[in-house]
Amino acid sequence: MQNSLRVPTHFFRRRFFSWIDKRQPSAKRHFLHRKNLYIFPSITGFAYLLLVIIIWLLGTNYQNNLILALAYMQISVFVLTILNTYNNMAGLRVEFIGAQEGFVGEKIAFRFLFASSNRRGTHYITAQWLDGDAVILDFEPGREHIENVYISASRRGWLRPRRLLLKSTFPMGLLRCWTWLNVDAAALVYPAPVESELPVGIAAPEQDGGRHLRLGPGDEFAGFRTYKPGDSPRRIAWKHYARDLGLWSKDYGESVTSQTCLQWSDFFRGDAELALSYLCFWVEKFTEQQRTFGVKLPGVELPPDSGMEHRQTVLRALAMFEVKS
Amino acid sequence: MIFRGNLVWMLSAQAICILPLLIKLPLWIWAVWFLALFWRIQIHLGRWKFPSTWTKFALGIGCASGIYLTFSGVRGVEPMVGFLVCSFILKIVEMRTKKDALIVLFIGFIAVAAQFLFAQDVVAGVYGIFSLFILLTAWQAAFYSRQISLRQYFRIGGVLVLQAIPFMIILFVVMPRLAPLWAVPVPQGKGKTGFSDTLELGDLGELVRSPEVAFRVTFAGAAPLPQQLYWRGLVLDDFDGRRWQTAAMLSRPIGEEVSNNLGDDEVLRYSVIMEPHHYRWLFTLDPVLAAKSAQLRLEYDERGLLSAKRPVVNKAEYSATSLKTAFPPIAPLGEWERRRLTRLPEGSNPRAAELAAQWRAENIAPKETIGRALEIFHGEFVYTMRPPRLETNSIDSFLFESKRGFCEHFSSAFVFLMRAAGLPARIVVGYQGGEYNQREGYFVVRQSHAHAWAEVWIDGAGWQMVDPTAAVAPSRIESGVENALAADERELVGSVRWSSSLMYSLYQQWDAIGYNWNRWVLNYDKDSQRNLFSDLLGDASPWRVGVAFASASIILFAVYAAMQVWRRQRPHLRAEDRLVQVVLRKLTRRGFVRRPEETLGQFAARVAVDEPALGHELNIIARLYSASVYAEDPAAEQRFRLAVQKLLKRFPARIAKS
Repeated sequence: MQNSLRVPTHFFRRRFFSWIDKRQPSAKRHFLHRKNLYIFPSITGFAYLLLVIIIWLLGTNYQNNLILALAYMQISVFVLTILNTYNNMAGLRVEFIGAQEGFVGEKIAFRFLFASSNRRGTHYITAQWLDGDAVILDFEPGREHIENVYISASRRGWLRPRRLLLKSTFPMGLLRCWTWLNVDAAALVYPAPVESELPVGIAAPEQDGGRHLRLGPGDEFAGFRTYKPGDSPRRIAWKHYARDLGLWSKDYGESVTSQTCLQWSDFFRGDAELALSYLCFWVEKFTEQQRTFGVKLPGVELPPDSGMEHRQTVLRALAMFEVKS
Repeated sequence: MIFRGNLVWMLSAQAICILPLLIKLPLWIWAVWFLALFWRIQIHLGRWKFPSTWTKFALGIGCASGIYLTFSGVRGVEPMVGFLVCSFILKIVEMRTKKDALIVLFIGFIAVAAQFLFAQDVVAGVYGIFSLFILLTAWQAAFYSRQISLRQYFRIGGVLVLQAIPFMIILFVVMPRLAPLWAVPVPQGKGKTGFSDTLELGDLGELVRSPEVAFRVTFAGAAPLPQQLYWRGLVLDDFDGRRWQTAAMLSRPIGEEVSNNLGDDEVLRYSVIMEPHHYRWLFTLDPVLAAKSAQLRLEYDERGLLSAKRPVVNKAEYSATSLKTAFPPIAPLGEWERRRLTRLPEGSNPRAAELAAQWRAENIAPKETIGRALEIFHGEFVYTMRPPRLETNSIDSFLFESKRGFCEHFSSAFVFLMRAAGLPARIVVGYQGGEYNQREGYFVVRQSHAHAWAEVWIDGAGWQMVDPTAAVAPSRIESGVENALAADERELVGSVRWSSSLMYSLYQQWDAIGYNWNRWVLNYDKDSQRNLFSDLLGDASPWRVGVAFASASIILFAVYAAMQVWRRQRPHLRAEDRLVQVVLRKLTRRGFVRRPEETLGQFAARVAVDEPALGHELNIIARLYSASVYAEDPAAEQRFRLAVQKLLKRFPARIAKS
């Protein structure tokens, strides 16, 4: 039932968009003006027109000129509202600035700069990507506003939502003025992290935190060893000596993270996307634990490193990894 | 969601829309309204809850049955309006969302329309516009998300109303007028005014005390003198010994145009704007040839009386044509008619009957009979508004004992004598004279102009008008009822008195405004429309009207659109913003381009990487800018200007090379 209803909508929408694409090329910056703004009465608008008809009938049946004048006044207000609704949106500058990167399943924020050249600003406007979430915005005159418009990422790789809907029924809700902008915007989407067992060969982080100590100067306790002449008396394990266990020295060293390499072959079990998701999970985990790790994918090799920048490099590689079949 | 500011707007809009209606409705609806207001405010303060479905249902049933009980038996529009107002009031209690608010606003528009059912004068029109202004402001307030001042609210509402009026006028002038599509109940109003269809001695004396306007009339061409204006309203031709009343008579539609070619010197053309009197009769000068009206369905009967098919409940206009001279009789009076019009109750007023029988016995000419009757009045009779109360055989007591009376005493005594003498006669009730408004050239006829006179049938000559009052008090006809009365009675006459001539002239001005409002607004109909088109466009053909309408509308909206675009091209920039633009332009030349997403402070930090001194100064400017623009600190604004000037000194002015 719903499908049969949606098919014509879908068909008309596609026709509509191909018509829009011909009229307006994809761009980062758009101005709203009469060539890209559309306007049509809303449901409230049609209800209002019905009210006008009722009042007109009242005036006609009572032969009452003042009631007729009221009906005409309402029509006049409606026509003016067409102008005002259009004018609220016209003169708005919309500029795509950049997008955050995120994981599949997350809402990705696209940042826009809005500037209204209207004397009273642009009120109560709804911005929304096609199939995205609506945000309600309000722009003061003579100021630049930076706002996020969100859309859920469903696939890894470049997310190009393209169709930005801006609509408003301000100031009276009688008419809906809208535009579909063809925005040249893209955001990189990483695979969704999926928890998995760490393959054999990589130290599990739970045991010992995956760390071992490099002996030498440092202040982290590393273990005991037999006393050698020259050891500092402060390092002697006096408790052991007191229990007649012999003379031991405490060993200290500095903590280092083991170098790990996340390899494609360790995760790939026939489903490339799942493998990328597993990898993604461990990239996040290792970054959280501040471990140093490298990544080896078919055709891509990233040397071991740590930190947020490394994370981004790796995640981008995962996002853009092309599966060869 | 309904916010506080919006709620105040909604409540005031509702109050303003329903106040004129509440005045016409029973008191308990006021109580319901106050309760609803109190409830809504308690909800807003979080003390009470929104009504449950059952409470709403009970309230609705309660109000409906209240209306049913209060208005049982009333067929007018009042119960409908009562119902409208009740639902309007109850809706505001449960108003929660923007959709509810819109429903309230929509009912508000119908309430404004209902105001016009009861009153249509200039004040009602102005009040209607005012209600609309508050309603539209409340509507826009419901959609405003920003905090704005009260003045700005009034501005957005006022601008919308003012901009809407010109196109409303265009539509009002051009849109075709249709006849009523179906019958509707009419307002019952405060009751009938003017005289009724029966006349008892003393009735008119009461009426004359009222200064209320009965109708206004304009003459095409030169206006006749007031003493010539005998406005016939009703003929009373049945007498039961005490009361005169009108006999039922068949009516037929009256012709709209004068068929024969009568010149302007032979006929009077005039148009009358009636105040609603809730009766069917209308007023014309005798003899009326033709009449027409857009609002009323006119009828005409044997006695030459014009009436509407339904009672006049709204102001209504009709125009009529009357002959200046009396109409020669087409046919002699039928025997049955003659008997009816000379009929008197058996044994009533024996002395008057005896006197008339003497005249009859002398077998004198009808003119002589009339003369003798009027001669009686010439004697010791007094014209007064305070005649003594007369008991049975009132005409005898008046003629032979009290000899004091008002116009209805003279005319009924006169008609009695004529009938007793064998001449068919009847009383005519209507208005005599009129108050001339110099400014606009029309007559105002008030209840105080009410008058009664007589008509006598003379074979061969037809109906002759006789005014017995003129015999006793000629000044009544020549200069009005006030001047005919004794000094101590003048105060009783209803008229508008003013202490100074300035006030009187202002009053006349106000009445003239009302008169023009009636003529051009309330009575603008199909005919006036056609005449206006012919005057303006040369002819009233549909395509001409269409082209004129289209071009007027296009010009109007082109002006509005141009105003909006013109405003947009010159964005309203603050002085600080303009200075920042200057600084940014200079820096662009230096190679520093501010990115769109960068704040001024971030940009300053980026500049500081390459040119620390410049970046530092720019950072100061950025901070002072924020202080000046966002904190509105006037001292910061001064320092901001100085900082900008200092920074601009770093950029040498380009020397013009010649």
